[in-house]
Amino acid sequence: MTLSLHKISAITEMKFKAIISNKNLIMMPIFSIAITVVYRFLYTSLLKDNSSADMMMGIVLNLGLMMNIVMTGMMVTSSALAEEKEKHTLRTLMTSSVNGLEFFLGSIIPPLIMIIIVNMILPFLSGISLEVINYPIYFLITTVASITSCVLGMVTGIYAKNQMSASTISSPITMIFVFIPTFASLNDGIARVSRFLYTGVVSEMITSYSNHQEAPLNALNMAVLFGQIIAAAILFIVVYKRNGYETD
Amino acid sequence: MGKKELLSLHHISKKFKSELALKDISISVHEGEILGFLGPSGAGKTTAIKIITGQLKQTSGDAVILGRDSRNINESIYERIGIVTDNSGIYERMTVYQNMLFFAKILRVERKRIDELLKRVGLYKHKKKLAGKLSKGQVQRLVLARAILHRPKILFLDEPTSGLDPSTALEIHKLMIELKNEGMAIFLTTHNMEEATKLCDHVALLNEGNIVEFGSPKEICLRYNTDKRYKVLLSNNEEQVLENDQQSANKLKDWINENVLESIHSCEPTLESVFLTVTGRELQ
Repeated sequence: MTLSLHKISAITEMKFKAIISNKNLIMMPIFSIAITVVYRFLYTSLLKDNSSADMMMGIVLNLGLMMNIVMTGMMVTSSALAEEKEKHTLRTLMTSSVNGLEFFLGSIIPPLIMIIIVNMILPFLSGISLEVINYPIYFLITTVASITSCVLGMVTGIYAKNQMSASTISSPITMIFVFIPTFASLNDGIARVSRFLYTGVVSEMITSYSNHQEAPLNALNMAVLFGQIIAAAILFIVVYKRNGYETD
Repeated sequence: MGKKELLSLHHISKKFKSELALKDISISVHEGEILGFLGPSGAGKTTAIKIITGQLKQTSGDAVILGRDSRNINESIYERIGIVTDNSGIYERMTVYQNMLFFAKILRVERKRIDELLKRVGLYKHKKKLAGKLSKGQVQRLVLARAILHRPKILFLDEPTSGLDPSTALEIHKLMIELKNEGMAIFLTTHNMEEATKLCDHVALLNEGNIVEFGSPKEICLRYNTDKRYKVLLSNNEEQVLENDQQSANKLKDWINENVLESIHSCEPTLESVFLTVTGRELQ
């Protein structure tokens, strides 16, 4: 399979336009930003002193990141693919000399760039002390997690016939990856499961930052983070080989 | 030297579960030729296009397109074919020009070709219009312009004028003739027998997955012209149908001598009536 940069760049440009002009899709990163800002001011108003400020703002940042990485990553990618099927443009594209890999790359680059930009803005909006964040590590972990979400979004997109079904299929998966790390602090069992999720690694990193500690770059976290991106890629290849981008 | 063969099907069959959609189909298409694949809905026309263009695998037989087996069709083949089906989508939130530009970038076509084609299909003045706001006829013209953007060797048209008003259909017919004259081979599927008679060099009549007749529209109609009747119009506006016999010949001779014969036409069957005859449907 060959890769033509001009085709990937054309698809990327088209997908950017498609996402920006689709109100349902562009709302996702905006929603992540909005929820971070709203919760920041809500939590700030509840704080009696500054001693637990970073812990509270860590929760805010964690919530915004989960929404952005998982919801934007999966929903935008799967809905954009489903829309191509719904409007019959996917088949036109695939019979216009675009191969599966070019379409894949052109499809995940725009949402990925959007997610990365929002990921990098969120610490500033969350109110967490910026000096506690190690930005290279933060960038690495959130970006790998965002790629995993986008790849999983492509997998769910393959099974979705239209944008409605893309939401239906993605919703339970996003809930697993968002809520388990979010509620990990409430229950030991959930915390144990969370450790084995790529979003759990992101959440653990933010918890460490909010406690003024370095991000825990241990073997388990790295294995989970990189293992799941590889697992997502393998899952995508298997599903794509079996169905192509359309399951009919 | 004969025209180059661009597409050939050899004993193609396609089975969906227990149903045979195509049965032992063999045809070929040459450059500058319009081949009509005719039949009612469900006859297997779209299935044939999908097999030839590598979107579906046949159960048996071989399809060779531009020298390559359709099962191994790759990007270099897609760069030399154009496909218009009833499911050919457009990016509705992009303008007419942006739709064309996107595919021009994919297919590495120079930008001036976009304006040239939009003028040719009568969409130039709508180039800034959102594609989602176009009428059905305009969408079909945009899809057609996009399909010929890269000057394909073969153009697949699946029911291109279905549901269009007569004037738009006529414009599309005119464009098809121009493309044929430029050397493009066109594989046309239609259930419109009049359209096929007017445009096609050869037609294959398809019924329940079988080719039941093949040849030029004229050849096929003459083959079924067993009754050999003639319709005459006399100067008093009286129309008469004559049999092919001595009595009619004498009548004709008299009318010619009396100078009352206005016109005379043979009454060979149309493709539609041939189709009805070969499929036995007129008996129902």
